[in-house]
Amino acid sequence: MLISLEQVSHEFLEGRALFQPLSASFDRGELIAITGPSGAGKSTLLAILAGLMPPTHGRIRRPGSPRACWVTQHPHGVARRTALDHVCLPYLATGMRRRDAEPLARALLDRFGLSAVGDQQFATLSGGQAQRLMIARSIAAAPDLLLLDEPTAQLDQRTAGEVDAALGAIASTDLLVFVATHSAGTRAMCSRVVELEAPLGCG
Amino acid sequence: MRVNTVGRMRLAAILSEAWRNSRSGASHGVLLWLVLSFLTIGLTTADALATRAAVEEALDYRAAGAAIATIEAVGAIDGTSCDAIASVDGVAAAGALRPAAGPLLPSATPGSSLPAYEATPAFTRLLGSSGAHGAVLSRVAADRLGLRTGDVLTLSSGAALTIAGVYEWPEDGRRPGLGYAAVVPALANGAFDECWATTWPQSAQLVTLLRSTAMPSSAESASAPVLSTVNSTFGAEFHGGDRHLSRPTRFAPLAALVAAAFSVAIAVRSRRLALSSARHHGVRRADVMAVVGAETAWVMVPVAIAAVAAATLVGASAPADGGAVFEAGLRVLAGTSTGAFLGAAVAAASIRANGLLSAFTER
Repeated sequence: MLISLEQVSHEFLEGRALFQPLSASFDRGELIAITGPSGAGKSTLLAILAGLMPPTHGRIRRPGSPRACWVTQHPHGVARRTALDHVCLPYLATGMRRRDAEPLARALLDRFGLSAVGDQQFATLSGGQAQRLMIARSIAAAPDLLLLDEPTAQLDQRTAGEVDAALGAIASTDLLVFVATHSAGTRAMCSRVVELEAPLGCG
Repeated sequence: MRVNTVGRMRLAAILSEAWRNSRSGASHGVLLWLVLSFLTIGLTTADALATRAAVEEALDYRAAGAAIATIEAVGAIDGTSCDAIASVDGVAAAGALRPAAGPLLPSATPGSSLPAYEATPAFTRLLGSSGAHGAVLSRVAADRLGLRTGDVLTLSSGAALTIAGVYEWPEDGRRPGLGYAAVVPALANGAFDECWATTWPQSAQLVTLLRSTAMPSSAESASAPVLSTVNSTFGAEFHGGDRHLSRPTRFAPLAALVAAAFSVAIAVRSRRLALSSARHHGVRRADVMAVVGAETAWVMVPVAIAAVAAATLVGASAPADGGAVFEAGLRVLAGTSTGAFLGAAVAAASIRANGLLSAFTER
């Protein structure tokens, strides 16, 4: 068990509650979809799971403080650096030589269908390619926990399908992955779904 | 697939990342280079020129004889004491002077006379001439008599004087009398009318030394010794040093430091999302600082070369003290360099791994 939630819910200062108390435990190798209507608290739950904010109610257990990586809705890359450079950096950060990092980075790019654009600048990538690149980069950083915040929200159906396929590529790893999403396609790739419901008395 | 996440980047990887960021334009290196070059070369040149102007002012002051202090007591200056001042630390030259018994009568110009003075052997150095064995002539006298250093001046009496040197004595406010004259050497052990001495930089101790050359008998005479300078129109003291210290460009190094720090910090902070993303993907704070520092170094190398070239040019064109002018320019470069690396370090240190997620969590 990597993370467990016991009656976790969250309430903002002004008293607005986000979701009904949630109890669940999650382990490595799982791909979890977090769904729910807009404003239900999907992003807040991701932040709670990552340990960035404590829940106002309930208890979260994260034994060993798992290291989290995020992929945000808008991919943030360095416009003039290549796709390969982006994936190499996490390896270089560990003390690896560039010549050792490049084959590993190219293998990851290949796994996410990006081998053809490895030497292209980030600015020239399509939205789907950029999003898959950010996922590949996060994998290269070897986190325990990967959090994706609506990774297909800004994409058309075809490119969203590319990202969903990338999620399928992650499913075989020992990562615990949470994906906040509205997309039925993304949801279909996941092994479990956490449906956030508005608290009683709200709306 | 799991990799070690507690390591640190290799130096080669840091330099490689910095080079790739610089080459690709990701570090805004060209823009920074332009800003820092304009700033450094502009301020370096301005301060070096201000320093050169101060050096030139000091040269003019000395060349006009304003730095030569004198004491006058007719027939009451001890020539030996006066000559001895030249051996005191800091004294550049000293010597005693008195009018000769009569003017010289050159045989070449019958009916005309040349005013003459007698001086102790070290005196001629005060006139900018090294001639110790023979007479020294003013430029006007030498030209009028058609004589040069090494020539012989024949007098109507039949005597001959070797011309040991020629000195300049322009009408720039300096005391009259020596503009058309000959100064002939005399033994130091005797009474003279004046003692001259000069130090650079000026020293208040010189007045005490000059007073020590007045023989006791003069204190009892009606006229007290008179202290003055060879050229009083420039003032008794040189204030160029104070003016240089209060020059408008004196804050140039500090201004360069502050402006460079802000420029680089703004450039780094403008990349905060990219750098924050790097931190988020395992790059340590120290490594981000090292990469940004190396990028700053790539920018500063050509800036430094250009600034050193500018300071060298201005220094080389200075009539003297080129080293001081060059040094003034380097102080600005030191300010820019310090500011650039300081700004880079502070801005890079402020990048947080979760900075990328702030907007995300605050939505």
